Amino acid sequence: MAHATDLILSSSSRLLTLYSPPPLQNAHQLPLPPGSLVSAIAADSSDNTQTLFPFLDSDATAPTRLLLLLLKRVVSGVQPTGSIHLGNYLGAIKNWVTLQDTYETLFFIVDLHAITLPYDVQELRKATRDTAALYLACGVDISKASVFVQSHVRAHVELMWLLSSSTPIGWLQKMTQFKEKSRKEGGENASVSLLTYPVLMAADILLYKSDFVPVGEDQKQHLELARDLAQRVNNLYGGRKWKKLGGRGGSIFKIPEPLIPQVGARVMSLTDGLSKMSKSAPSDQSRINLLDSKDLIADKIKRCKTDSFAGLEFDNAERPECNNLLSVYQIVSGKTKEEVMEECKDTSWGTFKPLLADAVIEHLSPIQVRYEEITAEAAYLDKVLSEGADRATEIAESTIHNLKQAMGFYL
Amino acid sequence: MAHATLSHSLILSSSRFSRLGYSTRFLRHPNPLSLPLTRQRFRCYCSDQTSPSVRKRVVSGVQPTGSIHLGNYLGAIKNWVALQDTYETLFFIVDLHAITLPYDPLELRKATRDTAALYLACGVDISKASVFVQSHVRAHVDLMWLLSSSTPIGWLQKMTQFKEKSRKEGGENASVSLLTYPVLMAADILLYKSDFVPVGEDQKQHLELARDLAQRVNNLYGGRKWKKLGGHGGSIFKIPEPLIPQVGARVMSLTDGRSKMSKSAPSDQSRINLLDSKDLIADKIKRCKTDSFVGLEYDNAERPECNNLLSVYQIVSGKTKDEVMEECKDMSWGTFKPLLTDAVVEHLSPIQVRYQEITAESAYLDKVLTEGADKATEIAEVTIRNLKQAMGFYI
Repeated sequence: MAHATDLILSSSSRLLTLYSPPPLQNAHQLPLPPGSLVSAIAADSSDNTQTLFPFLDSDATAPTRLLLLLLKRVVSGVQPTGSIHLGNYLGAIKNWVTLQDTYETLFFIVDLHAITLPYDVQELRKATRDTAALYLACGVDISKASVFVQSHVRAHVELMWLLSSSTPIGWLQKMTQFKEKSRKEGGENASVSLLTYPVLMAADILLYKSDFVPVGEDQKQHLELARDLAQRVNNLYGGRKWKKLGGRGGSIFKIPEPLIPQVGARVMSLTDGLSKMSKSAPSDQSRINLLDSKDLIADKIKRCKTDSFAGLEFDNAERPECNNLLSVYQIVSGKTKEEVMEECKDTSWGTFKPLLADAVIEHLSPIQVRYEEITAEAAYLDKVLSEGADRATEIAESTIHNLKQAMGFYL
Repeated sequence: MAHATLSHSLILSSSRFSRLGYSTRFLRHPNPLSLPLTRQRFRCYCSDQTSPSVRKRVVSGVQPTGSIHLGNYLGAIKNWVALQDTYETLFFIVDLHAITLPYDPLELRKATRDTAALYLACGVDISKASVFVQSHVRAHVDLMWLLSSSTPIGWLQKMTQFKEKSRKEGGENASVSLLTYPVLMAADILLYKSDFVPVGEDQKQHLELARDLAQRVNNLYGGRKWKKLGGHGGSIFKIPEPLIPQVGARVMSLTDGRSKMSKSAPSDQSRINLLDSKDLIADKIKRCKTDSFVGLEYDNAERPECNNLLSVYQIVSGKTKDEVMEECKDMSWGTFKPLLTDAVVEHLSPIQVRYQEITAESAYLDKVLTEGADKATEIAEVTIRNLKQAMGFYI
C-alpha cells in the first residue's frame, strides 16, 4: 500500500537510472493502431507488472515517452448522485482531483452500478450529467484526465461477463456490502446485479490496466476481490496457454493496488456534530451542497448548531460542533491551525459565523462559476464525455481483445 | 396437440391486433377503441423498419459443440432448419454461454466455427436465415446486465439446470455465470423481439423466466413512464412464445437400444456423427447391437434396437412406415444392415459435401458470420437503445 509521494520518488529514481529505453518489441505483437500513445502504455508486453518500459510507439518523441512512463494509471468510479456536498468535496473529491497531476487518471460515472438498487428513473440522466459537470467544475482537467460515462464504453459489461465465468459464487456471497444491501432489499428479492456488482467493478478496474485504485473503507473488500480475480484469470488463461493461442504470453491483467489518497477532512453535519455530513440525512440544513447559493449557505451556517462555551477551540471532545466548524474554516481559508486559533480563539459565535460563511462562499465560488459555464452549453459536456469515452474505449478494447484471445474465442 | 393450437391462435390474434396497432399510428387519438395497452395487443412497427417482411421471428441458440450426431440432426436440427421457410430465423452460436462451465479454450474457436459450418451444411440458407456468433454482437451482454438489475436472485436460484449443474461443480465453487446463464439467455431472446423460441424440455423453464422478465421490465419501465422519457410508450419487449417444432425422431444409441444416442456416451461406436466417413458408418452399423429374432418389426418392446434401426431407415430413406415394413419384414440383419448403411450414407452425403466446401475456404465462413452479426446488430441496437431510454440512461 504505497503512499503517493513514495511512488513519485521511486518512479523518478527508476527513470534516472533507466534513461535509455530498451529495444522495441516486435511490432506485430501490438494489436493496436500506431500513434496511440495511451494505448502504448496499455500494451504492456512483459510479465513484470512493475515495468516502466512497456512497448512504445515508435512515433512518440522521447520527452513524451518519458512523460507517459512516469505516470501510473488510476481509475475512479463515481456514483451519479447529481449533487455533492462539502463533506464529499473536502473529504475525498478535492484530493482525488489532484491525483490527475501525479497519475494518468480516468474518472467515470458508474451509471451501470447505480441501477443495482432501486433508483429514480426520471433522474438518472440528469444525475449522470450533473455529476460529470460537477467533477469538471471541481477541477478535473481534461487535458490531463479522462471523464466519461461507464455505459458509454461497452467493454465494461463485456469484461464483466467474461470475468463472471471465473468468479465463484461463494466469493460474491461473502461480500459485506452484498449481505447488507440485499438484506435491506428483502434477501431473495434483491436483484442479481447486486450480487454481481463487484464483478462489474473488477471489470472497471482491470479494463484499463490500472496501477492504483483510490478506495475508501467500504470498497476495500471489492478491490481485494478484483485483485483475486485478476490473479485467477492470469493463472487460468495467461502465460504459455495464452501464447499457444497466439497471444503475447505473460499476465493478462495487472494486479491493481489500493491507493489511500492524502486523508481528506472528516466534515460533520451542521445539525449534529457527532454525525458525518451526509446526503441521506433527512434535513438539507445539515449539509452545505456545493451548489448552494450564497444566501442559502449564510442561512445554513447562521442556523447551524453551536454551543454555549465562551471562545472557540479545536479538539475539545465536549465541543464537536466547534471543532467541526473551525476545521472547515481552516481548510477553506487555507490557513494553518495555529493561524486559525490565533484569529478565532476569543471570537464569539456571532462574529465567527459570518467569517465562516464568507470563507466557504469564496472557496466554492470558482466551482459554482465553472459549473454554470459547463452546464450552460449542453454540447460542451456531451463533447467532453464523448471524447473521454473514445479514449477509454481505445484502452479497453485492447484488454478485451487479449482476454478473448486467451479464453479461446473466435474473434 | 393443444399446445400447437394455442400457438396457432396466438399467431392469428397478434396479427389482428398488430394491424390495429399499425394503423393507430396515423390517428390523432392514439387508441380509438380504448383498449388497454397491455402486452400482445399493441405491436409497434416503428422500430422494426429494418425487417422487410411480416414473418414472425424465431431465434435459436446453438451450443458450440463442434460435432453433431445423427440423433441431434434427426431429432432437432433438421426441423429447426426447416423453420427458415416459415419464419425469419436467427441462429447463433452461444459461445458466451459455453464458458459458464469448464471448457477447453484451445477448442472453443474451432468448435464455434465448425458448428456454424455444420448448420450451414445442414441446410441453413443465408438468404433466408441469419447465422452469427453470440459474442460478435455486443448487445447480448449489454442487455444481460440491464436485465439483471430487474432479476430477483430468488428466480435464478430456483432454476433446475442451475441447481443440477452447480451441484456438480461443487456448489459455491460454481461460477456465478452459471447462475446468471438464464439472464443472458433471456437477453438472447428479447433482443430480437422474438415471436417464438424453439425449446426442448430442458430449456422450458428458462423460457418461462425470459417471459416473466420481459413482463416485469415492461411493467417497471414501459408504457407512460417510457413516454415521459421520450420513448414511444407501450411494451418495451415482446413476450416470446415457446415453439415446439414438429417432433423429430428419437434416435437411440447403436450400442444400447434403450438409451438416446448422445455425444457424452463414452464409446464413439454408439453414435453416427454427421461427418463420419462412409467406411466408418458402415463399420458402426455392422457392429451395432441387434437381436436374435427372425425378421424385422416395429414397436416390439422386446426389440428396441430393431425399432430404432427401422425408424432411422425410414426417416433417412423418406419411405413410409408401411413401405419399410413391406420391404424389410422378412429380412435378416445381414441383409438389412448394408441397406441401412447405404441409406444413411446417401442421406448424409450432401451435408458432408457442403461441409467440405464451406470449410475449405475460411474466408467464406468468416464472411457469412460477419454479415449475420451485422444484421443481428441492426435489430439488437434498437432494442438496447429503447431499453436504455426507458431506464433513464444518458444515451
